[in-house]
Amino acid sequence: MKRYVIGLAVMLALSLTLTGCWDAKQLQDMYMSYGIGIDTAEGQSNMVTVTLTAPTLTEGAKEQLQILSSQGHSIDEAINDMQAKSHQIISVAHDRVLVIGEQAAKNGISEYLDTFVRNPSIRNDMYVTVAKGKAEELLNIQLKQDPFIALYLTQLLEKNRRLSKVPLVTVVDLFGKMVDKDSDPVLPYVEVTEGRDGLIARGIAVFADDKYKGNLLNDGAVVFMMMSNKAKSVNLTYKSFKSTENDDVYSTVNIHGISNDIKCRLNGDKLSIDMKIKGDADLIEHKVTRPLSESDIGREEQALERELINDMNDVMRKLQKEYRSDPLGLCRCVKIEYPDYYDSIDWKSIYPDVDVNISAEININRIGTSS
Amino acid sequence: MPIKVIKRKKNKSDKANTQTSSAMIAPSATSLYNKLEDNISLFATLFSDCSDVIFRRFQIGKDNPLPAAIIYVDGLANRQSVDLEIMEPLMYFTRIDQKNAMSNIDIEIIKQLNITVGEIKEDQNVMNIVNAILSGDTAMFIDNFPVALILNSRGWENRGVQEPTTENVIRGPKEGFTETVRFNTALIRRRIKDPKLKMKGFKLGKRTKTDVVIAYMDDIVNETLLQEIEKRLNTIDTDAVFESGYIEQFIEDSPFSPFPQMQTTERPDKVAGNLLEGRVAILVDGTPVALIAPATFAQLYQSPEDYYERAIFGTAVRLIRLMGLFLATSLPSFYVAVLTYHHEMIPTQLVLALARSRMGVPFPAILEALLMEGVIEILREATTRLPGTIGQTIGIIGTLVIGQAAVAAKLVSPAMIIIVSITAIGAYITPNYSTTYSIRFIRFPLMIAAAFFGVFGIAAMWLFIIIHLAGLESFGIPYLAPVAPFKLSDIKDTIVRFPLWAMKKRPMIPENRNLIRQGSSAVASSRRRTRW
Amino acid sequence: MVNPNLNKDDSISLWQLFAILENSILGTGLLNIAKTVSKVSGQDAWISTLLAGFIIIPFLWCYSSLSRRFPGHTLVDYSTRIIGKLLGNMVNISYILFEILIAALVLRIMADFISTWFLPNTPIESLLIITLFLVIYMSQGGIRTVARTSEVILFLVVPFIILLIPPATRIEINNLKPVLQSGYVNIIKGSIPALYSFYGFEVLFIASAFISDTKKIFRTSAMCISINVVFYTLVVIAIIGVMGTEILKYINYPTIYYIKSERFPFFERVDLFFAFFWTFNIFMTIGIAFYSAALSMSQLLNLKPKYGRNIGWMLAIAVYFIAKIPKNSIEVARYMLYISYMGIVVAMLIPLILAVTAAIRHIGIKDDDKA
Repeated sequence: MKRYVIGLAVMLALSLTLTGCWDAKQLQDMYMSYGIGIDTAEGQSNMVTVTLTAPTLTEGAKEQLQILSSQGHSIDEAINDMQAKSHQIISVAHDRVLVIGEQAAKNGISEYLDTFVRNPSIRNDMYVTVAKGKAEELLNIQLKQDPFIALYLTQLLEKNRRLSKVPLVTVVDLFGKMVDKDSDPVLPYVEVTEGRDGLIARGIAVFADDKYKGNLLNDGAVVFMMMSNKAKSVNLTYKSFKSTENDDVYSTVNIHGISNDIKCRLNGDKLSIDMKIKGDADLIEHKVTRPLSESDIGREEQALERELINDMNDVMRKLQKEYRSDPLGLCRCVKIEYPDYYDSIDWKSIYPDVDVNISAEININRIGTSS
Repeated sequence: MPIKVIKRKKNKSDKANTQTSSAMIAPSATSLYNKLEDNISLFATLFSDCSDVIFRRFQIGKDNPLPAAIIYVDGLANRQSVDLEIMEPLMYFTRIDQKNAMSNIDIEIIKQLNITVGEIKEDQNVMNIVNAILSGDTAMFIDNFPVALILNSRGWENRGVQEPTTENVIRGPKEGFTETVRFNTALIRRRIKDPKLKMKGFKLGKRTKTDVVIAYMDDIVNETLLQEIEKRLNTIDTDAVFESGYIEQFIEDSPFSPFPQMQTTERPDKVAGNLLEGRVAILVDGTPVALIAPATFAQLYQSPEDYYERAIFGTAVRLIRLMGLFLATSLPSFYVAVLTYHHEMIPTQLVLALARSRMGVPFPAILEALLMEGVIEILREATTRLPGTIGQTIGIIGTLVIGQAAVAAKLVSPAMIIIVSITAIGAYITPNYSTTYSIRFIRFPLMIAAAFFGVFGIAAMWLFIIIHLAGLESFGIPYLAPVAPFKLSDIKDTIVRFPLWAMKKRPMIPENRNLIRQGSSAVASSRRRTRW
Repeated sequence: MVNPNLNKDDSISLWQLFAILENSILGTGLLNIAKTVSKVSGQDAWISTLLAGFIIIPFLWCYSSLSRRFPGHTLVDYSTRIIGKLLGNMVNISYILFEILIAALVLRIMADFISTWFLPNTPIESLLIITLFLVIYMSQGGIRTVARTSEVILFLVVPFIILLIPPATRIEINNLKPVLQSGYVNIIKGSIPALYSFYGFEVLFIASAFISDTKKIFRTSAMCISINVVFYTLVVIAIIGVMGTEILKYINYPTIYYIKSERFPFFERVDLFFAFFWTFNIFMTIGIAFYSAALSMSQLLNLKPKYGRNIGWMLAIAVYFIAKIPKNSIEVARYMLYISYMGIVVAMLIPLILAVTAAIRHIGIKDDDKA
């Protein structure tokens, strides 16, 4: 009992003498940024422009969004600078999306990422995306449907991820790829519509090391997602076997259960890589000229595989020759299989010329309710 | 009302003891006189100015009457019993042989032949006689006998057995204890028809001389526990025992702990169930609330109804109560901590709504929470004092109007009202009213800790409570049993409730002597075999 | 043979011993094990962890043999009887010092951790003081309070280990390959930082004195260590499998990042949730180490129980100032390594020497006497 009284007295005394609240912040005093944009400052390549967008808290205010923008040598310097323009405490803890401007991405993004990993209050599902043009412009557009552009963008990315049109990359993922020398990162690529009132999830921005090199758009993006084993389900439209030389007939399938098996072989000094993509497909649209027969399905599969292989070769060529980027982690594959050989070569220099043999095996399992 | 002196120091109360006893029987000797008149005048001085004490002289027999007198307290003694069972047979239908009436009359003959009262004692000690009279018995004196006959004529106006006011059940007996300890023991005895059910009587309180009964199962209860309880009861040295709470406060292990170390109940079925688990019940005259010792934390959220309903629902209800317990103690503190320190834990959409609702509220979250919780406590306290019908109306109007107006006036945010309502209701999820006090008042230190250190403050305060609970013992039984110390076989009647046929053994925690509760029930086992 | 310093009623069950051991071992180790070990042995960190765990188990036999020879006695009671007054007291002092250092260092890590994740602006001193008061409060309750609190915390916190499972679905086997590539020397070296995560079992010096069934001490403690070995190994595999070894070099508390990398429906910031509950476990590590030190100290100085209880206040001051020595988390990591080396001597060599000497000199109850 005595012990208890002493304990209680001590706790009380403590809470009174140490009266803390050092970290107390009232919710209504917060500038809760929902999205953050990063650009290289105009004319000064070592400066960064940071844009924050946050919903206005006062209901019935004239503007639904408060957009702040500032420049600094580091992101936090810019944010500190912004504090002068805001009557609320700026917090990046609620940021849902980090938009990187095209130019900033080209200059290299690794220097921007550190603060987002070091700061423990950053959300785990804060996505990173590359914007065509400037991030500041993207965050400044007026959407017709939704006042909160950052939330809209997040939703856009998430929904497109379901059909594997864009990858979904969080800051920590991106940082991991960035410090891992064996593979290069990719990010979703977003652009503003022409009327400046909407956004389009275009495809994939490919990086070599931390520098933005180019895009894989539309089918290229989807195929890339399949190759990197990230796609769960994709919709693909291809030229049906019924196409003739002067009349293209298109079919659409939904492919799921996708797996890409990457193997490397070393024949003497010659390195080659085999990729075999497998999957099950559902036919979801097929121009009917006559009922499908059993052999038609086989031919349809062949047409699909042919087109897929073409697309994949296209993507590989772009990655190897044009962007010199290795987001598929082929390097890791070689490193694991032939560690001695890997030590003897400079991967960067031989990568563009490695033979990549691509094959595909797609089974059409379901054809829907009509034949 | 006598002044209650709660002093634990032995020497002081000793002094008080000698003072009071000397004051009470100052005028005379401790034993009776031979002459009737002397005896009557002795008691007349003792009961001077006591208008409720009736002295009645009469004569036994018709021809050679024998002077006698009875003394009883009007209201405590059953008047019909006095008239018809004591006086009438003695005065009219005396069966004493007239021939030897005067010479060799014996008190035994009177007892055996002429009094139709069930319970008769003989006593010569004046103090005992006084106590008996004040308890409602009738004392009878006969000329030339230095002894008094104590005739049990107790019977006073009494509240009948009614439904308990606090621990209501939907399914189960609706009987509750009354203010008379005899009725209460009868209610228990009716449930356990076993001579092993013992009811030891005590008298506690120097002036109130309250009847206290400790009930236990002789072959189940742990002897050391029983001895410990008796020892503690015997050390109580106080003027008055008006309620079982007096006893609870004198004998509990840690008086400054916010957690009750004895169960209180108005339900005889609950007492009976606990007796059969090897616990000891303490019944006090003058109150319908019985004490059950030892208590554990798990019992705070158990109700007899758990056993009356089927096992899966009993379990489900217990889990809900545990959740309610957690919400009622910690929800406001988490709200304060999350709002002021860790707003990043709130989902994006919600944080906007919360921030907007707090726009214009002048107080920080902690003040808002303390204000509303304080108002709720005031309302609650006031409505229990208000007369029944008005109470409900005022309660509803008070909460609704104040809640609405406070939000409209931007004194508090609507979210806070939700939190406060949940905690206010959640505190009553425990089936036992006394334990709601612990739950209601634990959350204030938690809220303050949260206001200073966020969730770390909550963690620290929780740890403090857990360590305190781990060190707490009730009559030598660890309070957190059977979780700490862990007893797997007891868990089946703690957080979950197993079917009755699966609980073959009594809980081990009040270490009882007779572990087996039942054999494997034939019905249950045959059912299990013929499931296909 | 009854120790006057220990209350006769204070006996604990084997299950309570298990709870004390588990609470003493689980703590800050989990948060950083993947980082510290993989720094040395790369993707083979899990082998180092496994190795470290299984090195310990034979030493548990020494503890159990000592407690069978001296039932009801702690290290301080028997060390002087076995190896003489001077050496024995040196052993006692080094044990007390080790426990104080563990308590101080873990306290510091906990304060840093809370300061980083929850209360960035709150002075670390106030966190230290509050925790120390709680620690004193618990240790004053004696072994029964310590044991029961351990049990409650075990039931309260261990369910949250489930949170480690969902992110594990994203393990990439390639991150763990190639196996044994980092070399045997590095793997063995890596087991030294891994040992840090297992310290806490030296509480057996104290706790086994309260066990009446001394024969089963080995079985219980070995089971406890084995569970932890498996658990830690799985955690290391999962973290490296999901995040790769490269990023671990850059981030502190990778376990939190690992949980952070998964998005849970309805729950925001599960990492904070986990961190909140894990604080309880860390606290218990400190509390048990502190209790061991305080009890040994009061026995060493032969204090009456009345004063023995208050030795905690003295120790708390020492712990407080030791905890403030390291400047930052990098220095803390260095001290952690020192502790690991010191632990090899205190927690492993000392019981070995004591047990062997006692067996040779036939001190205490012989094994065959009991039979």
